[in-house]
Amino acid sequence: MKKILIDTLIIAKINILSMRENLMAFIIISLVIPLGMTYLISLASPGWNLNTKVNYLTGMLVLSSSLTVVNGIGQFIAQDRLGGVLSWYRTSPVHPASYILGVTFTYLVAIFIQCIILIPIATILWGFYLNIFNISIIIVVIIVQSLTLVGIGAVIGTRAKNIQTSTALTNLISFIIVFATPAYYSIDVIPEKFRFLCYILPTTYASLMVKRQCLDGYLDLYLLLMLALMSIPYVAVGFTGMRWREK
Amino acid sequence: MERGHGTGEIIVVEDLVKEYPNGVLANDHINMRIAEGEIVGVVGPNGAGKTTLIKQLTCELLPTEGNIYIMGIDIVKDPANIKPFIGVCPQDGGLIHHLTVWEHVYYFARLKGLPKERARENTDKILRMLNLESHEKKVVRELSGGLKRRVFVSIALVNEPKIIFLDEPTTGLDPISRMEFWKIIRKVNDHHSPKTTVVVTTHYLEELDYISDRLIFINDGRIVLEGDSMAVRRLILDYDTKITLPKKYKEVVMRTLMKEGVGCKVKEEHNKIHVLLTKDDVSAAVSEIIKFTSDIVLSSPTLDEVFMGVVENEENTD
Repeated sequence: MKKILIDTLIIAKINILSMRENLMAFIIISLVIPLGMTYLISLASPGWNLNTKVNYLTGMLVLSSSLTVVNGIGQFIAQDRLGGVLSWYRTSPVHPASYILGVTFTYLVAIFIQCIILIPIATILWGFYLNIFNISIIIVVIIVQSLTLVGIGAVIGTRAKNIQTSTALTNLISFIIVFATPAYYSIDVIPEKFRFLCYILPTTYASLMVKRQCLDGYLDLYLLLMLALMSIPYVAVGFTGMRWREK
Repeated sequence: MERGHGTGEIIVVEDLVKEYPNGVLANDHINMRIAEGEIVGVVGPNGAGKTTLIKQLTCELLPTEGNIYIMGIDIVKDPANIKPFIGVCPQDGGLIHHLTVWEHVYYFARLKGLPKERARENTDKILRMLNLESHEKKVVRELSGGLKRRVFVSIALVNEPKIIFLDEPTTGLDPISRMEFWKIIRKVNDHHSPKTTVVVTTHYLEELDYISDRLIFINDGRIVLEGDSMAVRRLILDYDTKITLPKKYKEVVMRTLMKEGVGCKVKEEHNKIHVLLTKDDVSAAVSEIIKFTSDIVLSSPTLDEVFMGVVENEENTD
């Protein structure tokens, strides 16, 4: 167990170091998104109200984090596997769980950085108040929600026969998430026959919780627990999908 | 059950069969035994089943049938326990573009179970040994193909493994880099006591002549021949000496040798011909050929010629 944890941290460190050249671009994008969104919203909805602002903040946080997890983890694992990096891990005394946990930890760090840049800037630009407690809860919700999507990214990354397939699959999943998550709009707007998608997507519950934190600071522990429970099968699928020895 | 343990045999492969889900039979009842400290070259044409064999020996691929024991450990059932003792240089290995040379070697040393201090010491030592010290701070995408291969070997060796597996390690390297590479492997083999066992695949046969103690020829998934390189040459070729001379003398030399009753086989290559002879006929042949030209080279047949002979024999047998 100790070895699995140590290896997880080493693999996360390897991944983070490998991304350091892109760190500045990542931070700039995190700054540019709220600035760009502010400009677009002011053009699209002159006289926009608090609900609109909250919807946009929720959409940015929930959707960008979920797309980062699905696309990022899916592509990362596929590239490691198809580009030959995985051979080094496979032939070293490393448990497959350490690899998945290491990649997951890397992306959770990225999402955490994204949140702590985005939330303060967006709230300052859009003129509504969130205290440290609200911000912390939102970050916890986003992290738990991201965990639920790890499995999807991992399964795509470990199964895709080539990079093109993994890109197509992650794009398809991303499209479903963006379409069926009531982040920018309410559930009522989604056509009834597609509404079941809302209820099975963890991003729906995350969106509801983020919106409540922004509007009245209410924390629905039941929803948070639901979200945490949803992460278990998703994460389990991710771990069992990783094989060191091919048949 | 432990096989090979205590007998000096570090690798024992018994009736190994690998059939892929698409029905391709890549390894067909392979049996081999490798002694501790041996350098063994696994040779075969593309698609012969060399990489499949190495991937099973390095726990990347599950055999369909058969047993593999490394250091007495049944690695089919218990792959985790052998990994700390092996170093692998995979054919299709990739490096992490934005990581430096030092970081690559150090972090993989840590993943191979070395504590921080020892990982640092071993990383510095191995980079010195492979002349990578001056490149240690470079990110790997800035390195040439030859230097990247050296990083591969550094990762494979950093945990001081008892056995190293090198799968086509010199593919894509220029001849000088290839020779340097094999010198390093020889140095590694000699460096430890007992010597490090090396299993290597390549299709540059002449390089194996320089490095390996024993050759194993694989064709169509089966071992077709094994032995040291000289024995292999003798077994395969009826002709154990080769005279190379300019092609323009082909007709006259052939006519003269036939007249003198010298049995030979002639192979053409660009502007040269190779006259293959038995040892008994060499002096008679040289004394005749030298009448026409002094531009001749006497040598042993190349391993490539041996290899072609093996494949031809196999095809004829089939």
